[in-house]
Amino acid sequence: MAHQAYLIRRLLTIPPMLVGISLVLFLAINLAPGGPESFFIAEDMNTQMAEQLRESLGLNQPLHVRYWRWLTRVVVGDLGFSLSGGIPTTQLILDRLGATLLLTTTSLVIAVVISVIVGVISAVHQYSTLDRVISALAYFGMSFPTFWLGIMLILLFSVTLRWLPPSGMSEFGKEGDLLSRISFLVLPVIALSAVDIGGFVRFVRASMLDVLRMDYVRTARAKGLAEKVVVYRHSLRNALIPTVTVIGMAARSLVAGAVFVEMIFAWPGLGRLAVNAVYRRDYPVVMGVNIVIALFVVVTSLIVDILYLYLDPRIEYE
Amino acid sequence: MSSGVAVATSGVRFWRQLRRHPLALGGGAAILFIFLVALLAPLVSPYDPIAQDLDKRLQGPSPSHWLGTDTFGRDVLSRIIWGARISLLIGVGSIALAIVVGTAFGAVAGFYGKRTDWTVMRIVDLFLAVPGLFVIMVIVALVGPSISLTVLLIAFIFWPSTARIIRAVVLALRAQDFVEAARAVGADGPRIIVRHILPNTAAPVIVQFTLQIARAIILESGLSYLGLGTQPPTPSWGNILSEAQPHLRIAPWVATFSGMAIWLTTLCFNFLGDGLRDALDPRLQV
Repeated sequence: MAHQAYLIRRLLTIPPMLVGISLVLFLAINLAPGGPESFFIAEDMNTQMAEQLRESLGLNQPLHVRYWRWLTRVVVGDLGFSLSGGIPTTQLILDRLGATLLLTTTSLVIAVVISVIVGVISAVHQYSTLDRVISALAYFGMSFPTFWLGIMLILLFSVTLRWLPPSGMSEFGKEGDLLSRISFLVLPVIALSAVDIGGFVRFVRASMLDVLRMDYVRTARAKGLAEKVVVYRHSLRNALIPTVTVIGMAARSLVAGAVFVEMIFAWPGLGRLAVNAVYRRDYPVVMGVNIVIALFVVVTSLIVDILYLYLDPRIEYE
Repeated sequence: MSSGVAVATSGVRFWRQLRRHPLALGGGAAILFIFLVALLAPLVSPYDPIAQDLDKRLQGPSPSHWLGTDTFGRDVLSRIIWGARISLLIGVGSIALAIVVGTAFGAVAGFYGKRTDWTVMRIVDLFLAVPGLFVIMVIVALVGPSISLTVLLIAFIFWPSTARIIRAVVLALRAQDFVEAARAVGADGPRIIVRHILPNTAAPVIVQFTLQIARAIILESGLSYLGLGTQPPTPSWGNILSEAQPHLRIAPWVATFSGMAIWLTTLCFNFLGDGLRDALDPRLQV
């Protein structure tokens, strides 16, 4: 019952959160020098013409009126039209959402699987050479600038070795070929997951070490259980609980990282759409992509909180 | 005088702890070296970082140009050395600002609690959920890039996490006897925060400062890479990398070395930050 009440309250915080985020963005776009009209109104345009344009676009209205109009349309799924091309923003986003989700979820899953395995090995062999090597590699990983790692991967695997394609999402005429599709995914996923793997490994290791020191683990050993059973059946499951939080926090960095990865590998996703919209000052698209991304981040953190409730019965949210 | 002794012993303990972290010491030394090189850039850089020599375009590493030349025949080493100034300036400047703002909000929220705490923490939550990179991109595209704007915007992204940490520390400190004692002798809220509570938040602040500089340097170079940070011809690690990408096939060294500068600097800050965390705060040991 307490859980339900918590969940309802938690769900209720999402709309104000999204309104707040969109307001921050809206103000940033509209109060910045130049503002949204700079897309249409050239400096040498005569004042009458400029005034007409403003009126037809609704830019002569006060800020709160414009924001309210934007908000009421977004609620029914209308994010307005792209200024360059006149395509509905919702359409542009839906066309690219799949590519970004494929890239980010694949990276996240791979990062989690690798870090759990490596982190546990590291913790079980604490202070061994293997542990030190893993820790060093984790530091290297988490310090990578995603964009540089991407470029270096292209240099090594595409330019020098010619093993993997340097850009795009599929080869023309081979869209249905799974192996070909995977070959396009490999480098972007490595570039995107490396940083997270570095961070996760250290976290899993620390959390595993905490659990291995607990009394119940000692009891399990004392009653003669095999080390494997102690590690995997008794300790790992509890060690993974705090790891869930880190995964939730990674959602944000994953989205930011995806922007760079999509730019470098010409991956046709939301990040690329957003960057190009920013370059073109296509503000309906900028607002639209940002709201979708904010929604993604907020919903992920909600899911993590819910997962937490079920994974750890000791937790009581007030 | 007892406080002097306490400081001395905790200083000794700090060094003893830090010495156990050769990576942290190495990282710290390397950071000092990078700062020094950046500071002395006019003296140590072998060439003018923006002087073009079109006869020597895209030359590989050689005795006269250790790290080769870029597409305008400019010396890559000199550009990386001068780029260090921008990267460190923006990294340190933005995080210093973020720490000041974050500490102020965190301390007020943690100390006063109740409504104040609730309000501040909701603002923090809001800022944590804002897709920071995108907001920065939008504002830079509209206002036009500059160093001071970059510093401001990076600080804007990083202050909420500091606020969270400081709030948690202050919440714990608030209940301690020495705060009660200060209150008993009549000190008011602001005075207790500044004189009694803030000095005790130094450890997490220093750790946070070091680790966040690493992330700020990556963010700055990322923005410069996207063309929204430091503008050419002024060299920054990110824009050297960005300018190098079209020539990746024929001149891979430019992208390799400029990115390596970002990577290694970040690595050193991460080493140092983790070492400091272990040495300053035994409870947080990972």
